[in-house]
Order: sequence, then structure tokens, then C-alpha cells
Amino acid sequence: MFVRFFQFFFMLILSATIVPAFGQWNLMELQQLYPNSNYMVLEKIDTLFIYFENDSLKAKESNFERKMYLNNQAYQYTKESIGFSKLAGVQNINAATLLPVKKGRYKTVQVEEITEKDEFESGIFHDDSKSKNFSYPLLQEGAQTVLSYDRIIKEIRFIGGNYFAGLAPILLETYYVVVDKNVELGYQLFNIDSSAFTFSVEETAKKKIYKWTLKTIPPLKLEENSLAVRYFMPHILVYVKSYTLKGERHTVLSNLSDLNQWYYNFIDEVQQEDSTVSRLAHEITATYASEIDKVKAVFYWVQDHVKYIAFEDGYGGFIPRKPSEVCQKRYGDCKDMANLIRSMLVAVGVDVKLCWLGSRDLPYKYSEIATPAVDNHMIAVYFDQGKALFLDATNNYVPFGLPTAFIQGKEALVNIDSTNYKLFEVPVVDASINSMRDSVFLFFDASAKLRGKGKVHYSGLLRASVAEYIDGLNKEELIRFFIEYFKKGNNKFIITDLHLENLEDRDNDLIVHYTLELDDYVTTYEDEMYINLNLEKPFKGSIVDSNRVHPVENDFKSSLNYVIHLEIPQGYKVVYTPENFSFSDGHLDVALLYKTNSNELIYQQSYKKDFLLLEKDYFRQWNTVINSLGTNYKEAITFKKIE
Amino acid sequence: MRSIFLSLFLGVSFSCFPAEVWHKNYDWDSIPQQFFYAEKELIIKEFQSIEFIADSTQKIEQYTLNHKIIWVNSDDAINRNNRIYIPLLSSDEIIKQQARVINSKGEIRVLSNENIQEAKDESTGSVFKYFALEGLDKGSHIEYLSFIKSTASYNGTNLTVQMDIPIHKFEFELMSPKEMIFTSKSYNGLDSLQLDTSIEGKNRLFLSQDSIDGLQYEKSSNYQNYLMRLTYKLKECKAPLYLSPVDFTLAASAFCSTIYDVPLKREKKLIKKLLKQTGITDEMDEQTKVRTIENYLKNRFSILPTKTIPGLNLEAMLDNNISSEKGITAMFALLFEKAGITHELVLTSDRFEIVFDTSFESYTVLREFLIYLPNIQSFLAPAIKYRRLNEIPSGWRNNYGLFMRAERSKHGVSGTGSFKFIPPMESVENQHNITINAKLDDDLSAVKMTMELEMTGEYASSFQPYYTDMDDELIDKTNRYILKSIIEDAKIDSVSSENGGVVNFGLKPFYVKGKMQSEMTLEKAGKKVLFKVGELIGPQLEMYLNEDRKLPIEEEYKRQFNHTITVEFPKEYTVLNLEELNRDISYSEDGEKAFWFKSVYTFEGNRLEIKINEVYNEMTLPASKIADYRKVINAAADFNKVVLVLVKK
Repeated sequence: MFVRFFQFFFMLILSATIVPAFGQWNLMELQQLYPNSNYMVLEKIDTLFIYFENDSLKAKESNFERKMYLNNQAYQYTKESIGFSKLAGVQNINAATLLPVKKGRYKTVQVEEITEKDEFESGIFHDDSKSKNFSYPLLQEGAQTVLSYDRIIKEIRFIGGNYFAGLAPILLETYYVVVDKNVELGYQLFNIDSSAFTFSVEETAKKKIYKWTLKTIPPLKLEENSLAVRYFMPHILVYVKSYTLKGERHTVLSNLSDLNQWYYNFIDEVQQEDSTVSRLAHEITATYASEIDKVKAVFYWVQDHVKYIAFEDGYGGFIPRKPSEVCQKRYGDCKDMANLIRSMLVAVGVDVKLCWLGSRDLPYKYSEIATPAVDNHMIAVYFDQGKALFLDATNNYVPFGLPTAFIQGKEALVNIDSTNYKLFEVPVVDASINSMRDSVFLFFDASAKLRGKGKVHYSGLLRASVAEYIDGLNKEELIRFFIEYFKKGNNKFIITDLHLENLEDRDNDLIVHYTLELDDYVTTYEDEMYINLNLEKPFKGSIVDSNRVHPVENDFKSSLNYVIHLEIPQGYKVVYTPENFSFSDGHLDVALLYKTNSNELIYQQSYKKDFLLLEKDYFRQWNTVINSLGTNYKEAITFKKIE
Repeated sequence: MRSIFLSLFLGVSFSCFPAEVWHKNYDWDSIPQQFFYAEKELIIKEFQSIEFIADSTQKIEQYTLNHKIIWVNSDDAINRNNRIYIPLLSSDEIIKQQARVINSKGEIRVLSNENIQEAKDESTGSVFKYFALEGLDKGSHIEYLSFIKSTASYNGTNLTVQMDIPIHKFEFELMSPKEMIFTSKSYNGLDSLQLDTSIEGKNRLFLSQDSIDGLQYEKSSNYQNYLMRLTYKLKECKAPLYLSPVDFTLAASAFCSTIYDVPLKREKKLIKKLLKQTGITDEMDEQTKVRTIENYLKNRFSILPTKTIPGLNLEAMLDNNISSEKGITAMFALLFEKAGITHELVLTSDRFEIVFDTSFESYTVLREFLIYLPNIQSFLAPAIKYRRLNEIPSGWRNNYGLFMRAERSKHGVSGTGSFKFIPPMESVENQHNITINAKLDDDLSAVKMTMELEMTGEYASSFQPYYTDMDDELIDKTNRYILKSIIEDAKIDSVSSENGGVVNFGLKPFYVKGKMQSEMTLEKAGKKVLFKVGELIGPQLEMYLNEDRKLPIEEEYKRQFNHTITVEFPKEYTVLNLEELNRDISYSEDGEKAFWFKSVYTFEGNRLEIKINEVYNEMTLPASKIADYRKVINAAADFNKVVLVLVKK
């Protein structure tokens, strides 16, 4: 009964829109309107159906799009791929090329062969994502393609929503949600200027039809170091709050409590105690008296012994594996590691909870929309006298007590039990914790060459990122790495020897001791020597393009401090040191300081980068600061021979 | 529980073996040996056995046994080895596949069959088996054993043995029925295969070598070519088996026949029509004809990156405008033939993948399609869309190839083949030249300049051809990117390019021009001004680290740089140390200059002109000459550091 309605409805949409809407467009007009686009989407219609079948709630989405190719680059778009997985299957793919024959008339060439492929998603070792692939025949300038397919959504909580943008311009995009009247629908709009949208709700005897339409959508502008697209792409998230069946109301995602309860089902079973894990946990924590030391010991053990390998297969993407299994396999994904940490600590009497949260790529908050779209990550959390400590062992190098960079500032849903939960905000790590402190002693050797000794400390998330780079490198490779990483002065900078301190000891600074040579850096003329002591120029060229649209994202706040002690060469005196410079505005603090002692000249550069997002309003001021820094970077000191 | 499961798995699979497969009972030690090494990662043992078996219909099957034990002793080594991917073809049959981890405590964990994942791609027929290894810690052994039945490949197979980590024991064997006689060649110090005839009915070639060192990559080298490797092939085959051994004479004839044999009248007509469509005329000289045909075919046809699809159905190609590498090669050959353009087909290899060894014929080096035009002494890469006449990939040059000429007779098409050298381009054909007219601001805060960058050959190849398919926005972005790669802090006022587009590639130089200013090239020390004039030629390659050199130097191509920089200084300033600008470093072989860097300046009024000429007329040099090579390479990088001191008059 329903199916017939569904097909009829869909045909109606097609017949109603295609013919009149496209008669008016011709290739030349579109080429003139979009000279920088190789193709465009003439129309996109996505329809989500939520309906009852055999007394259970089902969801299905029908997608249709029609594209037109505007130039001889059409061949680049020959290949089409539609992704699917166990929880979101794909059916009824229909695709064809429409070849222009005569004015306004097209010949249809159907796609015949569709092949299937298992896909590898980046960062995930194994999942159930697959794709249907085919080629549009004979693509050429002026040709159109049409594509329609159905998506079968197996889990009502994953109905998702619709994105009103893409990499090509879209003339007209319509999103329908056709829902049974006994279903209570929730939705939320993101990055949508409601004036540009038309929205209507229509009711029939049994259905409610929501319709959103947006016209003339420009292509997405993607920029480097920018927020993820969901932060600025217009989109709608749709979810089922509840439904009534045979007079009884069932909640689905009516509030956060529902989500917590549903998620609880995934973790309930794997929270059982396990003797192997318990034995191991006692072993690891035996020598520690305080609770926090036990937490730290377990966290470091998991970081060291369990490698990150992600499996996401159907609901397997939500259910952690048994802790004993993870322990034996020595690998797991985020939820496996989180649950292992939790169960080990619970075994030794420490109360640790699991929590869900989204990475910084996702713009949503549980407190605004309580659906699975909010999160993509799970970690463990420990309450140290009421203060939440987030334990994310997916990064092997992050010091205990700090969150990983990509979850800073995000809301976490902490599961207490099947009915109780708490929301916490993951802290943003302070710039002073993520620090780099480099001190170099420079001198001229007997043949007047610049030589030196240095020591650099890394802490916090900066420590974690350097440790990750250098893990597994032998001494030669370390030297090569740090020559490139430091880049002091010019490319004749060489590290002749180097050793590390505290690489394994995450509670302390990672220290790199090195000796260096720097040739052809000093300019000499007659009795004078000129040296630019800005051996590093960390903000050189950090100008933000004034045409940039989106804010600049920073992985973490940080503070950098470089000190150079330059021995004044025998028989010389300092005749010129540049002026000091400082600046501070809450986003970026800078201080460049020169000081002369009896036998050495000290130059200190310090920076504090105190933001995760550089907003557009601030670009102009940022560029002014960077320009003045640039001027200061150009200053050299002068030594003169004592007569 | 686990072991029962495993034996069940093996039990099922053994039924696939024909009785005579030599290693059908091969297995790993039931109690594995444990070793300890100080190294972070190495191969304890690698054994590879390839056996050819004739089935009852005389069809040859290949059975490949692989047994490997890896030592991992660092987090990094664990992360590199804890996931195993095995690429297969859909026709391959896995007979046995097992893996186990022996951790540092000696505990054994065997991979269970259910944990082996599979990924298929129906369109290519490729299959991946992959799995993650369980229980790995530092000091673990990973043991992996596989037995795969596949379509036999005996016409030249290259096996690279050495890698960047040491191999303690390497064993290889090649087994075949008595009728199949194989020959092999070992390279770079790998032992030769020995013949063992002690097994009845079988020939066995084998080698066993201890302690193969890891070879580290070095820049400016042909790393792949210096790894220990071997190539084997069928040399002779006796009745009752009828297999064709490797024979380049036969191969040349067969190849010519597949390319030129167009038996149908209809197809002949199509070729005639296609030639007309290319727009060539009798008045054109040969080079113009060739370029016209090349532009037409490469513009019209999409070329699928596959060598296997025959794609020689001319009608289908013309209908769909889609072709395979071989298909478009055939179209070139047929059009050239029809147009009376003398040409030879060439099959060769990229020498950075595998060098074409003329002393050991093997089909594995017949990888890339080329066409040689003897009248204009030029090469053409038919299957590469963004290459043009003469501008073939440089890795295919300085290498040999199998050159083939077709011969038509009333019986059909045959052909003859011979080895010939594909010469490298001369340095004059790969140029990267910068012309700068600069003027220092009166307040000496910035250098204003116009820059013209001229690129030919390999330098143009990364940009010029692609301009055909770029929109204005992308062209502008690319032009800016190119100029910024020379002057990093350039503030660009305007930029343009000339001769962009694939039709100009190899015919006209590619130019990018811009007006810009740089601030970072001027520094101040009190009242003196430091002008970093050396940075105007852009960051130069350097070899400052005096590391020991093992591998000979081998560059992709010969090249030269010709720069002219003029600078106008404010009249009230004197430039103090101009003599820094004169440099002359060279390396000669047999009294002839092979590489040099030379810079000369002239100064008149307040105008400085610097001429730089850096030339590499050789592309290979023995490792012992590394110091000479570094001297010239570093001379350019040293020039980057020239700073002129300016003082007010």
C-alpha cells in the first residue's frame, strides 16, 4: 500500500519539475553564469520517507540529481561512485547520460554496468563501507546526466538529514521529509539563512510532508587550515522524537536521556568484570598507593601496549570489544581502548566512566541536538575530586591528564548508568602547558665559524606531536629530522650531535640536546660583522589572505620561547643591537628582547598563540602584527673590531 | 580451541593440491624458535618457492609459497608490521594462509581464519586479503605463511629481495617439470641460482644467502636499480609441453601483428576517415604532421590506464572516445602508416622501476609504449595524455628499448625487433631560467621587481601541459604559486603566463611573468643595509650533509639554469662587497667540463647585472665522485647566501 504511494509521489515530483524547470536553461547561458565551473547540478531532490511497515518504523531515502557539463572537461566526471554500508544500503540505481541531439532534444544513453567495490576509509583498518561504481557514457560539453537511487536506512536513529551544497553550483535543491502522522519529527537547521529558503508543511490524511527548497547555491569554498565543512555548509539534521503505535507512545530520540539509554545498550554487556583484565590491572597498579597514580599507570599502559587499529562494521562501530580480547590482541579502536581503561580501573576499585563525544570536525552539541550525529569518538573519564580528567589513549604520546588536541572544547556525554548521564566540556589546554623552550649558546671557533650548543624542551601537546614525529627514528634519522624541523639560520645549519632525554617519560618535558654548526650565515665586511639573530622566524609569512572567507583553525594553543646567548668574539665589540619589540592582544603575545652582557649578547623571542580559531574580524589586526614582526625579523646586530 | 579451528581450516584447503606439489606438506615449526636481536626491525627468515605444475590438460599452474619471520622491537616497527595486506587477482586461489605472533614472553597467538578480511573490486578483478596481527609487543616475532595458486607467469619475473632492513636468511627456489628449463640472472651481489636435478621429474633452481644488509635510500640515486634482485624466465620447453620461451624476435613479430593487423574493410575505411579528421595536409613537414595527429588523438580520446585490456576494437573506440594504452598506440601506428610517416614501435621500461637489461631478455621490461620516428629522430609517448613529441618521461630515456618494425605480406603482418638506446635529452632541452629586473625602494624596506621565468622540457612538464584544462582562477593561482616558489615572501601585484597548454609543450618555452616585491631580502644592521641578493634565484638543492655515499649518483635528466639579475640601487648608496658575486666552480671529465656553476657580475653607475650559468651535462656519476658533485650542487646553494652590504655615501 505504502510502496505504491511512494512511487507515485516520486514520479509526481519528477514529472512536475523536470520539464518546465529546464526548458528555460541553455548551455550558453549556464556557461556565462558559471565560467569557472566544469559542471553544475541543475536539480537535486532528496526525499526521506518515514513510515510503518509490519508495525515497525522504517526509513528510506530517494535521491535524484540532474547535472549538466559545461565544457570539454566533462570526461573528468565520467566515473560515479555511491557509497553504502550495512546500516545504509543502496538500491534501484538508475543512471543515464542525456546527449544533446538537436536544439533542446536529448538522446538517452543508459548506464548498463554497475560494479561493487569494498572501500577503505582513511584511518580505519576495516569497515563495512562499499561502493557501487559506474561510468557515464559519452560525457561531453552540453551533455546532462541523471541519477536516481534509494537508500535503505536500517536504523531509524541514523536518518541524518540533507546537505544543501556541493563542489559544483546547484540551481535548485529540494529536500522532502514524508512522515507518517503518528511520528513526531524533530529537525534543526545549520548555517541556513532562513530568508533564502522556502519551507512548507503539507498534510494529507495520513502523512505530513515537510519541504525545504534552496535556489542558486554556490559551490563550497574550501580553504586550508579551515574549520570542517559542516561548520559553514547549509544543512538540516532530522530525527524521530517519538511515535505512536496502537495508541502507545514510544520515544526514540526525544531528549538526551533517550540517546544515553540507547547508547547504554551498546556498553552494558561489555562492562562485565573479567578476571584476566582484573589480574593485569592489579599487577600494573600494585606499586601505586594513590588513586590518581593508578589511573595514570593504567592510562600509560594502554597507550604503550594497545595500538590503534579501527574496525567499524555495522553496530560493531558502536559496541566496544571485550576488554580481555583487546588486552590479548593488543590493538583496538577508541571505544575498545576507552572500555579497557575503564574496566581495568574499575577492577582496582577506581570509578571511571565512558563518554561519547564528537571530534572538532563536528559542529554539534548534545545540549542542542541529542542524536548520534553529534559524536564520532569514545573515551574514558575519571573524576579527580570532581574535576573530569579525560583519558584518550588513541594518541600514544599525549601526557596523562591532557585531552587529545582534536577533542578540546567539545561537549562530552558521560554515561553514569542506563538512565543517568552528565554533560562535561573537555578543557582547552592552556598555551603555557603546550610549550617549546629552546636555548642556544653560540660562539665563533678558532677559524671564525659559528658553532653552538642547544637544548630544547617540549611539553604538553607540543611534546606529544614532536614525540610522534620522532618515534622509531635512529640517531642519523633524528639528526636529519631536527635539521629540517629547526631550520635555524640558513640551510647550512647542521646538527653534529644530538641526544634525547625523557622520550618515554611523558610526565616530564621531552628534551633534545644538540650541537650545531652554521656556516655562511655571518656577513663580514672589513672590520664589521653582521648577524641576524632571528635564527627562527616562526611567524614569517603567516599573513592571512584578505580574501579568505573562513576562520583559520589552530590545532592547539602554544607558547614558544627561543633564547640565544652569543659569545662576543675576542677583539670585537657590539656596536648595534636592534630595538626591542613587544605586542600583546590576547590572541598573540610577542616579545623580542636584546640584552648585552660583558661577554655575551642575549636575544630572546617569545610568543604565545592563544587561540584555537582566528576569526575573520581579526584578520586585519593579525596581518598588521605579522607585518611588524616581519620588519623586526629583518634586523641584524653589528660587531666591530676594537681598534 | 584455536588450534582445532586452525587444523580444520588447513584440512579443508589441502584437498586443493595436486598430488605432486612439492611443498604440499610444508608447514612452520610447531614449536617456533625464539631469537633476540638488538635491531628494531629485521627479517629473520624469508623463504619463497615457486613451483610450476602441469595439470592433466598440460595447462601450467603456478604455486607460490611464502614463508617469512619478522622481528619487531619498537613501536614504530610494530605499527609498520601489525597490518598485513595481500593483493591478489580474482583468479588466484589461496590454498594456505596463516600467521602467528610469538610475543616477547614466548606466547603464541595464531591468526584465526575469521579475522581475515577481504576487499574486492569487481571492476578491476582485484582482491585484497588483509588482517591485523594480535598480541604484538616489542621483541615479538611475526611469522607468516601463504600458499597461493595462480595463473602461471614464466616469461620474465623480477623479484626484488633487498630492502631497507636487514634479512638474516633468504632462500628462494624455482621448481618446474623436467620439460621446463628456466634461466635466471641475479643482480647487485645476490647469489646466482644453482641447479638441482636430484628430484625425479623436476628441475629445481635455488639459492640460499645469509646476511643481506639493509640498503638505505639516498637522494639523486636510482635506489631501486641497486637493490639485490633476480629475474627468471623460461628458456626452453620440451615436448609434451608446448610453451613459448621468452624470445624477443617472436615477441616483436606478434606485437606488430596485434597492432597493425586490421583485416576488415570497414576498419580500413575508419582509419582513412580518422586521418582526415586529424587535419593533416600534404604541405606540412613531418614534425608538424606528427604533432597534429598527436594533438588530435590525445584531445579526443580518454586513455584508460590499463595495459591489459586489448581495446583494439577500433569501432568501439571511435564510438565512445575511450581507449586503452595499447589501443591508442595502435591508432597512432595505423595513422602514421596511412600517412606514410616512417616509424618504429618501441617497448621499454622506466629505468627508475627496472632498467632494460639487453643481456637478459625478459618480458618484464616491456612495460611502456613508445613510438620512434627515425626521420626526425624523435620519440613520442602515445599513451600519455599530457606528453608531446620528444617530451617523453625522462625515466624512459637513457635506457634501452625493443624497437620494432612491421612488415606486411600477403600472409598478414609480422615484424622484426632490435635493441636500441633511447638517448637522454641534452641539458639545453631542460632549462629553468630566471630573469629579474629589480629596484630597491628608496627607504630600503623592499625590493620591487619584475620576474620572468622560462621553463622547457622536464621543468615545463609539471605545469605547461595542464594549463589546457585549467580555468582562469586555477591558472592565476598556479602562476602565483610558481613565482612564490622562487621568492617565498613575494607580494605579487600582477602575474601572467605565456604558451600555457599542451599543444605548446615541447614546441615553445613556457613563461610565467610577474610584478612583485619582497621585503625579507633586505635586512638592516644599524645604518647598513644587507641585501640578500643570493635569494633571488630561489631555494637551491643542497647536499650539505657529508654522509657516506653508497649509491652512484643518477639524476632523472640533464639540465641547465641561466639567470640574469639586474638591480638598480638608490644613488646615494655604495655597494661594498660585490666581489662575493663572482663564483666559478666546475667538474671536468676527460678535460671536458661536465658540471659547472658560474656567476659573473658587472656594475655600472648604480646598476648591477649578475649572470649565472649552471649546467649539468651528465646525469650519472660513480659514488666515489660524490665530493665533486656536491661541490657544484652546493655552489648554487652557497650563492643563495650571498649578502651585499650597502652603505650611504
